[in-house]
Amino acid sequence: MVSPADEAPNTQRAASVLVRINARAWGVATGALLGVGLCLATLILVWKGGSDVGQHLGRLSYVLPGYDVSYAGALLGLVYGFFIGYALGRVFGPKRDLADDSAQDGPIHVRLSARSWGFTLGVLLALLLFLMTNVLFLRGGSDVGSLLRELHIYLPGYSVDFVGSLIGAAYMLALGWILGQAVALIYNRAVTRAEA
Amino acid sequence: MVWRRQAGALPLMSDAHSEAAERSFERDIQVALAPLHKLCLGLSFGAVAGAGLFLATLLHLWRSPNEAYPLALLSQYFRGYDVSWSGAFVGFGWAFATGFVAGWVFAFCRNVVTGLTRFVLRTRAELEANRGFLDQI
Repeated sequence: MVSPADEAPNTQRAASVLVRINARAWGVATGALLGVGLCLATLILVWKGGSDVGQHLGRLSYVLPGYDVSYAGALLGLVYGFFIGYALGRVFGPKRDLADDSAQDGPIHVRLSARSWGFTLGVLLALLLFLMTNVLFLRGGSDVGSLLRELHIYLPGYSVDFVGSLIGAAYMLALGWILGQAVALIYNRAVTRAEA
Repeated sequence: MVWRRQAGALPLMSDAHSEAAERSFERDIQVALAPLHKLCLGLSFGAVAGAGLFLATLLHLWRSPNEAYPLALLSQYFRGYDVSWSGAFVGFGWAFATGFVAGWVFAFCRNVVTGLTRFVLRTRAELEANRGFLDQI
């Protein structure tokens, strides 16, 4: 029998190791996705060419210094995307993916916690929009946030200022919650069917 | 009750319960580091992304029917997409494909990291367990 004095610290140590491993995995996966995604989006525009290439995507330089729509910019975007994605994934990733506890002998797959995913995605999207809006608002200048401002079509009440950023963040929190729940529920159903 | 030390595991365990506790611990590790199902995550990302773009296009048509900007910018990446009823279906297809790839890549990267970590932990545990070998030969 394990003495109670020995069991609790060992269990806690194991749990904290698993949480760190999970956080690292989330960070790398999110970073890879964001970094490669931004790199590819930039390269596609560079390959398409044309006059005034990257007129809109190039505005990311307001929040990512040095970024532009070019080969060098694609590389920089990869780096930016990876580090930002890693930080977001590591900090906001679900601390524990819900895994199936059934006593099956075959390979098991992680099940997703709908609540964790909803919360994570909601916070991520809310934070992104809040930060981007306020960075643009604080930079100021003429016609500030002309692209981001169009979000008012989908988010009534949103505007490129502090109050608008709060309204937008609230919308994104709700939207992210719904999207995260949807992803988790669809995934869990699909995995259950695949493993059956 | 006999107490003995097991290297690399809980420090003090009885003979009667050590195997059960170790099996339970192994199971906990296995469950916690279980892989994501790549195909299923791709399907779920794709479904959500596709439905999202479809609904966003319809919402745009309803609220701002005369101005396609900024959603029309997606036509730079999604050939054939535009802010119209037919474009909504084209957009669903493109967004589904993009979301599927994103979900698959996400699951793949996460599985690689957890798999590598599990390998490193297991190797360390085996090295730790055999540490006294050279002293005995």
